Amino acid sequence: MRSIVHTLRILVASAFAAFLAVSCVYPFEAKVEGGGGIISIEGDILAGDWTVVLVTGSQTLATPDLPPLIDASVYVESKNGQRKYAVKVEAGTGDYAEQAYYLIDTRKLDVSQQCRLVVVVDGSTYACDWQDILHTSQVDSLSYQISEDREWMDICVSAHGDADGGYYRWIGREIYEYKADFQATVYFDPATDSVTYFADGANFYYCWMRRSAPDIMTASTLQMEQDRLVDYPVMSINCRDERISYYYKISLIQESISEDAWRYWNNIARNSSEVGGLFSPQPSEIRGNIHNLQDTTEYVIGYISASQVSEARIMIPNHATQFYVAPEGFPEVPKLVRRNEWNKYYHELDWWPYRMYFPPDPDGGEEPDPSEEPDDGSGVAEYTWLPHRCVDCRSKGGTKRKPADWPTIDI
Amino acid sequence: MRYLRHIITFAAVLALFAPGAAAQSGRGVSKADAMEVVQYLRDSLHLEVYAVPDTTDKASYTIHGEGQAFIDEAFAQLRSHRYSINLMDGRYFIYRGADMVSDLPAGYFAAEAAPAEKMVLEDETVVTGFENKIYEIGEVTARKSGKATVRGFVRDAATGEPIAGVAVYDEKGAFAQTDAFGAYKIILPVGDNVLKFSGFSMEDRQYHLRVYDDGAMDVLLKEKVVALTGAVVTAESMRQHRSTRMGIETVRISAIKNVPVTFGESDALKVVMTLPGVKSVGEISSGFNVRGGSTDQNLILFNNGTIYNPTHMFGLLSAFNSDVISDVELYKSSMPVEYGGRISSVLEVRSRDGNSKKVTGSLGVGLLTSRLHLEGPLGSENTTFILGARTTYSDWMLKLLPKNSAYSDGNAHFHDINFGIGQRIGRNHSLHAYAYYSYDRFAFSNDTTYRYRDLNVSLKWRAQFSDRTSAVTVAGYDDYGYQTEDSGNAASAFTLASGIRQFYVRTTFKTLLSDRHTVTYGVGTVRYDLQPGSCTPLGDSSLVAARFLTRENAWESAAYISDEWKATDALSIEAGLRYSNYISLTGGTKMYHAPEVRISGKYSLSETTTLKAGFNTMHQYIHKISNSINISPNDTWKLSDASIKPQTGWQAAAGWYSTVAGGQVDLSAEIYYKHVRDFVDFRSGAVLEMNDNLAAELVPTYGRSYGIELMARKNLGQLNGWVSYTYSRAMQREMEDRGVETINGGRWYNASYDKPHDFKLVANYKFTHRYSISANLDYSTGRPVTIPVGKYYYGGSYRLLYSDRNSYRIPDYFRLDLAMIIEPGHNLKQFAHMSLTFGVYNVTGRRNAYSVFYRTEGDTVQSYMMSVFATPIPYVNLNLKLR
Repeated sequence: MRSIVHTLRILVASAFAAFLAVSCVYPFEAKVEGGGGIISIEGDILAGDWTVVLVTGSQTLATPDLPPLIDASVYVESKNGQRKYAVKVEAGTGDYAEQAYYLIDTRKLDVSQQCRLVVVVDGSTYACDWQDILHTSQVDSLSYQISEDREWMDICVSAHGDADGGYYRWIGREIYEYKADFQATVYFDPATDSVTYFADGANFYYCWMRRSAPDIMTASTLQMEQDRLVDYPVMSINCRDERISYYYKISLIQESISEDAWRYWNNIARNSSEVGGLFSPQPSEIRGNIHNLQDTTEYVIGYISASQVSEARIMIPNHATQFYVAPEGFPEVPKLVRRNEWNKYYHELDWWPYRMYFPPDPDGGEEPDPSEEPDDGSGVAEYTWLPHRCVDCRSKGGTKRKPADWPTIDI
Repeated sequence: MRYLRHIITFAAVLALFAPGAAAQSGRGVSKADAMEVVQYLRDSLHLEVYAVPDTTDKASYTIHGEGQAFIDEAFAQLRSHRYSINLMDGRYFIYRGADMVSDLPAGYFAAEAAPAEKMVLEDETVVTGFENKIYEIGEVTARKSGKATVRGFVRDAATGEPIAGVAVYDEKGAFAQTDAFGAYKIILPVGDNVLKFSGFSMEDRQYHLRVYDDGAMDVLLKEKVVALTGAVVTAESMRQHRSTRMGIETVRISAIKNVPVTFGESDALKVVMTLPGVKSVGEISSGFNVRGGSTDQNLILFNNGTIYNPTHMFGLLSAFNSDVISDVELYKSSMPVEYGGRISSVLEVRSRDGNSKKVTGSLGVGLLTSRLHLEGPLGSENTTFILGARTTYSDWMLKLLPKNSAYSDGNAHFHDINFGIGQRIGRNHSLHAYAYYSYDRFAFSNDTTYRYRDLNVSLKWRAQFSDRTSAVTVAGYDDYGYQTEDSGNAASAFTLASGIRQFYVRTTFKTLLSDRHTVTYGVGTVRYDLQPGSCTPLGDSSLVAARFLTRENAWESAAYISDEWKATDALSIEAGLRYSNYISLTGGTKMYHAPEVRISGKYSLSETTTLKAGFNTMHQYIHKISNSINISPNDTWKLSDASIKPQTGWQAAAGWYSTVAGGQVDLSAEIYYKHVRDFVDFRSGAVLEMNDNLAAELVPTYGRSYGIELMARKNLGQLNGWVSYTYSRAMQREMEDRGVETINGGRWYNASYDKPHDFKLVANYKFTHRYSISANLDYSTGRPVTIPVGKYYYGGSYRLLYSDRNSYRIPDYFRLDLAMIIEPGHNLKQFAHMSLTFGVYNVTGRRNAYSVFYRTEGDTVQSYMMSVFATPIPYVNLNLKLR
């Protein structure tokens, strides 16, 4: 028997090895058609706060750019006929997002009246069903928890009490500061074909990003003993997420929502994340509460709730958590580019000149050796080039607009 | 015992010589007929020969030679004219081969003055394992004329265990099959008969009976040791041609053990999934779809107890331990009248009774499980027991699962125990008790644990009230429940649980009214007690309120009768009526009742070609509530009530069956059309968990499915197995118009298990008695899925816009498994027999898609395909059989 057991062990071991090599998720491409051009309207009516509205269209899966804001007349209408019209906030100027959006001042909205959001696009009037403005309770606390394996950071909410219905939703308004991979000290101006040093303090190294948190944050206390949430995790941030690489601030706007709204958002969440597993539910689309008043059969994406709000904020600096794990290795090998090719690189390849910025750190590394530059007689060997996105933080969507109350001295 | 081996040879050579004047010349015969050859053997060579004359044999024989040379030549010529020659105790029995003997006139044996023998027990039952004797049934003084009933048991000569599914038949169309107790009953004409017994993997037997009156004969069959060549007729082909029922698939344990399935663990359910008309839900699944039905439309019975979740380890293995299983029977078309309550199929899994001669057992070690089983007599050979247990010993399987599906942190464990005890009480009664318990626990991540368990206990009483009437009464209790613990957030940690308990009792009588009518009738009832869901706090800091959904109770009862009528030798019709009555006691009383029709018929074009057709109607009162395609550990069940109507359906089917290649190959083609209404589907975005108003989430749909199943099957021989191709469709359509919310605008849409093309091959090749290789090939169209066709930016991220339900498909499925099986040598002195199976699962390493899914990552949408086993997986499995 000994030899058999021995043989068995070898076989089992080989089987194990084969098993461990199994990796089971692969990229997959399916040919699909359509999916574009369906109007999508987002923007819960936030009584006591500003209401931010996005009117966009759906896109095919391959479309690379964010959908543009559709020109529309947007307003919140109360049952008594009062209307509050939106203004359009252009891209790169708003407090709530870097892209363009509509903003409605609903700080003094009459909460005793039913209301609805109306969007008029090309003569079609889209409106949500009339909504009662629900009451919401105060946010008790907002905190973060880092998982044991330091892979995830949960943002946790405690809330209690007197909300309508027991269904909660939070809108996360994030601002974070981040840095480009490398700090360029010079920039190339193709018009003059010259390289210039940044003026004092000017840089494309520090950026600020304003956006909505991408997580769908909902909860229900209907199954609970009390209408109370204790350190309830509403969103998670991975340790490699650039948002928490430096300074991260999130403002959580809490609203009460209806059961239908809760279902709508949960379905979106389920469709986006809980698919493909062994026992995953099958995805499906459900209709929201927005209709084209002229053609009620038109499929419109979106669900609009109306609620009073409460708010809580938290700032999470990475130096306090040491949570962020920076990507390893050089993102791109810098190139030494011949002088006569600068324009070509700048325009065609979208690369930028780059000059190594030395932190005052003895281990920082060495400046490129000018002798590596092929001698073409131009005498500009000290400039290396990197892709735009590595040296210009704005290429990731942020701007140089530093919030007034920001704690860093970066500019 | 070597001399007992009989040799039957069929050769399809027609007589070439015209019959001429008989002549018995000096040393031999010329132009003689067969009986003259026989006479010469008797007279000149002094052989003791018993022969059955056949007047249809017009051949003439010319044989010269002396002594053995003459005998050899004579036998060779007779065999070439399809005579069988059997040697037994120095006596030769010569008669025309099975396919040519059209009539055996009563009394022809008497002409040969054969010494009729009878081995008689105290209760006058003939017990035999010996052919080539003439057995007398009843007393010669009975002076009966017409017909008589012969009944008895068929048992395994080595273990004394009853053998189910043995075909008992004569040459004139009489046909019976042994039931789960190994019992048969057949009506034969008074006089001399040849009765044949043919069971899968057992040696065929035929007996000469001289029937005077009703009587009994028990038969012992030996396991077929030499299965490589020379087999003739199988129980399967006999049933195809003699039984009226269609769409029945039987899998014997010997076949189960030959088919390489997941990691060498022989698994009855996985073998069922290799049959035509049966589709697996997915690679890691024991859920199956029969002829376009959903997984909950299959009634899975294990020793009569209902199994609600037939899976272990989230579907990798089935719940049935092959060490204790006798056979598995799947009814996909003609459902026996005693079964009901499900639309699509009945899968009946029976455990063995246990060896009645000595205590034996086995030990198994595989990559996934360890197994132990023991069986034997308890005290006397009238009491037998069987005990089987399995368990897993590692969690390493989960490490294979996709990394980013977050399952790889998980662990999994299961065990199951089977126990059965059988008691024969006299000749006419037997009592059986069965118990089955299984427990599964697994976690895909640290904070979610799934558990489920299954308990079934049942009692079975078989009674033979007279020569013509027997009854089987079963009663039992089933208890299935699951529990899911979620401890992700301490304040909202909860335990979710649900369960079904049911008591049932059923009694079914079978009476042979005459040789043309067999009547089955009975009553049965099931009492359901269902806890659809409870949610309770988990841990001290949980704020979750304990909540219990309303319990559901119901009675499902039925009375049924059916008659199998043999109109002519070629035409038989079985017509049955089942009256089902369902009373829901949940929130007031609501009753549904309806007759169900079961009709099937067969017409034999010849001994080897048969046509069949059937029509059934069915009702289903219990529905699985699950939004995932698989059988998942937290599926709940829902009873019909005032707001959820029972599912109703009908199926019409027709088939053609032919046995070719000298009885070695069975061919079949079946077509079917099925229609279902009030089949439960879910509205988009349905919330199924802990929902007190579940009816609002469910939408009734029409279901229709149709298909054609082609199959060729070779049961015996060096190369055996089956190959099948199925073309089928399964579709659904919402019954009500809910405006824009109507699923796919109220049009027909593909059911999630609609896989039109399906090709399967299961083959086993025996090099020698010890070494064989097996192959299993599976191809099917990819299943329909709902995938994103677009995206939209909403709530701070891209979201996915999904297509109409099930309007795309995952890539096609293809898998080839190979295994090598080394059986023990036949050394009788060894204490234990060891068998080894080596194999490779998914030899080609194809990355079969289990699912495709899309995730939004940053500002892009990534599409993925999940493949459960994407490389070739070698395995080894060791089995020790104690002697």
